[in-house]
This record gives sequence, C-alpha cells and structure tokens, in this order.
Amino acid sequence: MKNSSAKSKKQTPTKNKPVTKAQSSSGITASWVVKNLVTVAIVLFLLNKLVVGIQPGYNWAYNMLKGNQEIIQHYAHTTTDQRFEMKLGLAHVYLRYLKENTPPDAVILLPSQKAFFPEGQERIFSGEPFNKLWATRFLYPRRVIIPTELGKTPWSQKITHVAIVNGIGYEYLDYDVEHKAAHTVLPVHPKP
Amino acid sequence: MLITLGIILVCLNGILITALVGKQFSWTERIGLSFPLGMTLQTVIMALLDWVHIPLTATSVLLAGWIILALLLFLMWRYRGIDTLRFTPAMLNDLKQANLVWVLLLLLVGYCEYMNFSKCIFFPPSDRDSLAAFDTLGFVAAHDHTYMRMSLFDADYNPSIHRAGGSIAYAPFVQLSYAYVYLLGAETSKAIPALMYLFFVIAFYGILRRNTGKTLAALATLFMMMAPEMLAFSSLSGTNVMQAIFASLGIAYTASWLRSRRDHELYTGALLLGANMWCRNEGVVFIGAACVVLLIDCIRRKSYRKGWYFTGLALLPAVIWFAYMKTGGLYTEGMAITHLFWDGEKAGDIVNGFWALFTNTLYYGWTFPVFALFLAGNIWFMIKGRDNLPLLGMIVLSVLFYGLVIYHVDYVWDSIRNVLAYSSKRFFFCFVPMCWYFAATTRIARRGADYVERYLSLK
Repeated sequence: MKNSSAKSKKQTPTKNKPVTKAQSSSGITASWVVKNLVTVAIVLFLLNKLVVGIQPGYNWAYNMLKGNQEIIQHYAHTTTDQRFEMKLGLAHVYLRYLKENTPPDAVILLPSQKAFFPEGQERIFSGEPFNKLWATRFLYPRRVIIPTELGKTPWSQKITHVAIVNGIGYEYLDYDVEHKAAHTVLPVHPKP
Repeated sequence: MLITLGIILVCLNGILITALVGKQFSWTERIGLSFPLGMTLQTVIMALLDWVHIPLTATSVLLAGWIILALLLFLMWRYRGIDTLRFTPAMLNDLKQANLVWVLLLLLVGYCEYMNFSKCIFFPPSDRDSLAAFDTLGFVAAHDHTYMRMSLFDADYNPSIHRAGGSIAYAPFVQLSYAYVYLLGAETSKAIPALMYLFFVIAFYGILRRNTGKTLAALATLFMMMAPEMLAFSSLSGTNVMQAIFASLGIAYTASWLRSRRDHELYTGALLLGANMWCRNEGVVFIGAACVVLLIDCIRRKSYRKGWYFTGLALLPAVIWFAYMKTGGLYTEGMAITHLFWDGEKAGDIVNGFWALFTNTLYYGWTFPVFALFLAGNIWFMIKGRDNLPLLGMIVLSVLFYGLVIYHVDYVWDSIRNVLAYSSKRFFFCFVPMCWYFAATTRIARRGADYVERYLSLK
C-alpha cells in the first residue's frame, strides 16, 4: 500500500506536466489569431477578386441574389396577388379579371396563342395565358376550354363564357355585340 | 399556423427515419436529411391515401402523418432505443477546434442561402414548367382532394393529357408536396423548393464533413450551392434541383458506404436514390449506375445480400408509382424508342451537347474544371488504391446512362438540339454536387484539408 501510494504521489506531477503544456498551447493564442486573420484576409481577397470578380457565372449569381434582396425589401408589404402581377404582368391581370367576372362554375373558352400574341402587334402579355394548365392555376374552379378542343370534348358543349383577347373571340358568341372592347369576357349566350 | 405544423411534422418524420436507419448520423446530417426524407414519406402516404380513395384534406394528410410519426417512434424505441437520437459530444469538436476561415465560409454559406431562401419565398411560382404542370397540378389536386382522379386528368375535359411527354405521367413527388402545402393553407407552393434547398445545403455539408476536413467541407458547400444555373433554378418550382438533391446525396451516401462500410450510409443512399426516382422518372439512371458499381463490389466480396437490399429499397418508390399509374390510368403515348438502333448524327449531337455543357462555366461555375483538376491530381491514388474510384464510376455511368436515355427518346414535340441546349442544362444539376463531393473527398484534397486543419484550427 505504501509503495503504491508513494508511486502515485510521484506520478502525479509527471502526469500533470504534459497537461499543463497542452493547456498553455491550447485555446486562442496570438499566433492562432494572426494566422487565422491573415488566412481570412487571403480567402476574402480570392473570393472577391477571383471568384465574384473574374468568373462571370458567380458574379451573376451573387449580384442576382443581392439585386433580389433589394426588390424584396422594397416590396416587402405586397400581397401574393401583387407579386404574381409583378412576375406575370398583364397575363395575370387579365386572368384575374376573368375570375372576378365569371361565376365559379363557369366554363370559359380561352382564345388561342395567336389571339394573345398577334403577329405584327406589340406583345402586351407575357407567359402562356393561352395554355390550359397555366390559365387553370388562376381560374380554378372555373373550367377552361381552348379552341383546339372545340368539338372534341363534351365540355366544349358546356361553354358558358368566352374570353375576348385583342378583339378576338367575338366569333364564338351567338349574338352580335355593338361596342366591341379589345379585352373582356362575355357570356356565350345573350342574357335573357 | 397549420403549414408550420405540417412542416414540423415532416421534419420529425424525417429525423425518425434517420434514427431507424442508423445511430451514426451526425445531427447536421439528421437535420439536413429530415425534410427531404420526411417529405418523400409524406408524399408516399398521400399517394397511398389517394389510391384507397381517402380524400386528400388537411385533416387526412396531417392525421396520417401523426400516425406515421407514432409508428416510427414506436419502431425506433423498440429496435434502436431512444439514445439513437442523443446529442453526441463529438459533434462539439468542430466548434472546439474552430478556425476563422471555417467560420467565415459557414457565414457566407448562411448569408447566400438566406438571400436565396427569401428570394424563393417572396416570388410566387412564375416559370413556365411550374404553371403549365407542377404547381398547377398540386394546386388542383389540393382543391379536388385527389391526385389520381383530379379534373385535369379527365381525358373528357383535357383531351391532350395523354399525349407524349404529358404531365400526367410525371413522377409525383413535387406535385404531391405542393398539394400538401396548398392543403395546409399556403398561398403558393414555394415553401417546398425553398426548404428543400436549405436542408440540402445542410445535408451536403454534413455528408462532406463526415469524409473530409470541416474547412474544405464548408468551401465545397459554398461553391456547390453557388453554381449559378442551379442556384437560379433552386428558387423556381421545377423538379430538376429537387431531383439533383436526392440523386447527388444518394450517390454520395452510397460512395461513402463503399469507403466506410457503415451500413446506415448504404440504406440512406438507397432511400435517397428511391426518392430521386419518386421525383423524376429518369432518376433511374442514378439507381442503375449505383447498382452496377455495387454489383462489382458484391462480386469482389462474394456477398450479394446488401446489394439486394439496396436495389429493393431504391426501386420501391418507383414500384409504388408504377402500380399507382397503372391503377389510375395515368399514362402517356410512348415516346421511347424501345429497339436497338444506330443514329450517328443523334449520338454526335448528344456528345457535342454534353461536352458543351461540361465546359460551360457560366452555368456551373468552376464545378467541372475543379472536378477535372482533382481527377487528374488524384489519378495515382485512384490507380494505386482505388481512391474514389467507385464514386467516379457512378458519375461516369450516370452520364453515360443519361446519354442513352436521351438517345432513346423520340423527340416528336421538339428537336434534340433544343432539348440539349435548353433542357439538358437542368439535367446536369445532379452532377454539380456529385463533382464537388468527388473533388473534396479525393485523397489529395483530404491531405490538404488535414494540413489546413492542423495549421488553422484551435488545438
């Protein structure tokens, strides 16, 4: 017992020595700070000059993110509907107009691509408002029929409204319209 | 409120999946994988509910989610033990041995991801493919309370839905996940792509950290997430980035298993590759590539059991989807050329198109040049010790299989040159994280990472 305790007493300081040494070199030291700060400066310089500065893809990506941040801050209080309008322009405004002026169970005949984008005229719409699925996203639960489906589906017999775009679509109505607006939505049959 | 609850539920289910798969995940990996795996499970549950004619409503999908949560909790308690989810002290080592470059890089990753996340959430879906397919299908499914029998899939109402390339046959992950958030009251579906990319960045850092130094892992994560075209698409509502998330993580985990032989990595790889095909049908190319490499490994080790488990798990979501499609009549006119043929011009177009993409630094930044550099630099170790050779095999085979898929598609709706110029750039997103993972885990990169850690980190 004596021996063992004596041994352990003797060992204690030698055991502690390396720990003390390790403690003195561990943690935040001046050399660690200098090495790290210099490397951080080098990395920042390289990222700024070589990556964002020279490589056009990364430059575009970073500036795209920054630019969008400015837009987000500027338009922070807009509604989802207004944000759709920001992205889709008149196509969204027009489809919203159709939605607001038809009942939920309406079956709407939407004119063709050529009506939205007539040749030789200024393009006022963007996106694909003539596309059945595209338009359905904004018109649901209203049903959408496109001209190529006329006569091919039972739904083409159930059309209740015709969307008029750039003055095109009046030919699908079974009555004459006196004052023809360029963009509107009308019931397919005259109101009683 | 309901949407927050739904997202938390998805993450909890994802964490419990990782707990069931294995005990050795870091919490970075668990958190990173929680949303992608949890959302995959949630969409599979939704498909099964829909299959048995249970209407998809907020109540039904949340209730099913909670039941699955209880089941996963029971299974974890019964077979793994609650201590599976313990917060291991080893995870604090990175903080104790921090260096300022690592902190700076993580801050940059966080800052860039914050900007990308807020951009994604702020703008509603507006890209053509989302509004003409994914987002609209999710929106209508949520309002019709069914996916299989939704109004847009009724050929009487939508006669062109079965045409070649029609959205009726698209794999369902994205549409059903959008339906999930719409059911829970979201105004747009953008929470899904935003959260997927956020959790992906965390998961990618997690798996990379497992295999290389922390500073290099942070640097590779920064470059990976900032790959210009992928970053831009990550805030849209398309499927490509989400498939890239599943496919690249799946390949990375499979490659990590081939290095470490820790089984939880193999099964995570299989689950992620299964999710990749649940997201896009052509994800089969990554499962095929992984299976070929695993088959070679099985032959060398003369043990096939785990190879079978892997293949079964990876193909399970696809089997469910094909059975669901068959039952629901969700089909399109064939667009695949199923016989063998040789068209030199088409093959040449594909090779040229792929080469043009691999060398396009505007789309992918320095991804492929860095990959080529580290491939060349590591060639000696690759020949001598097969270092990262299985991963390289999976990447090369995936590219080859992708080429074969494109070669065997009959482009009746567009020209192959248009597909290569405009669509293939999105197919290549899958290779961006794979190539950064490859570069950062080569022997020379790990040696360099060790030196950086010794030089910069706190002792």
